Amino acid sequence: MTVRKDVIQNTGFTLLEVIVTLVVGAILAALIVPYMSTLLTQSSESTQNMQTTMSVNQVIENMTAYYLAQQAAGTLNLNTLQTSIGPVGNQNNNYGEYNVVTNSFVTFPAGGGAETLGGTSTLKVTITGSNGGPFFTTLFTQ
Amino acid sequence: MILRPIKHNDFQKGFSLLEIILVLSLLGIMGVVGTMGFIQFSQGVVFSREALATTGKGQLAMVRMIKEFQTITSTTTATATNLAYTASRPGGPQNHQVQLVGTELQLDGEVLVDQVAAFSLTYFDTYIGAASGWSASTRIIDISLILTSAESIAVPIQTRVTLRNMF
Repeated sequence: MTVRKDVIQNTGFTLLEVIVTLVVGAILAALIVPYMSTLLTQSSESTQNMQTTMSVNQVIENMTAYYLAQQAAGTLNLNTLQTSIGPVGNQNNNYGEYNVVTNSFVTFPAGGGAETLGGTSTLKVTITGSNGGPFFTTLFTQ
Repeated sequence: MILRPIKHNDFQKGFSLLEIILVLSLLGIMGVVGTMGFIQFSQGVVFSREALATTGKGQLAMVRMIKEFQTITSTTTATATNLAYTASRPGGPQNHQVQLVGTELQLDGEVLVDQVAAFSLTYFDTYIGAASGWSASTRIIDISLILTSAESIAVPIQTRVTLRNMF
């Protein structure tokens, strides 16, 4: 009888209790880790965005320098400028490394409203960084 | 029938000394590890906030210099760290000076940005040409600014300004 009673009084945790505790703990940890890690890993994004902005600005300034030099020399040809900027997609040339989003001639309706494709006097160029980032749009006119 | 003497020990259901020591030392280790993790996390939060402040300051200074330099018409001093220039403005020409003084970048004697690790201006005639000193044919200025952020990390910022009024 005494042996049997000893077994009954043996009150540790059961396997089920241990497993439930571990699972709850793991779920809580899993909830807090993404919150903390994004807070830290995304903290450098503002700096990277700023650096990308400045490097895309550099590309725009190079295009502007070419445009202004051609204009000053009286040899401006927007078709040549359009070709030198390149088609939609990643480009790596004298202007720098960038991604062309738009590079086409547009016309603005007389009464206002959104521009339409076509014409020969206004070249609309939108570029962004090779790996994305902010967009820059500029208009080159004849 | 033999009466078994009741032993006091049979009814004591506490933890043994070994169990208490084991549990306390485990809790201690977990506490130390957790605290260290929390300290690192807190440092990370402070670091990211300082880095953000540096980024903001750097961007402000760069945008200001871009706007300033775009309308340059002539210069009186043009070195890598000192540029005194005349710029065309709606109200007429204005004279300004951007200069590195110690670790401060100053515009007309007022602080544009501090914690500057390096600052240099380079002058170009064309966008594909090599750098040269300032001359009447200069058309482009490259701005290179390196700021010291939290934990002494260097944040380099580089851009270029085409001088609209020099063409």
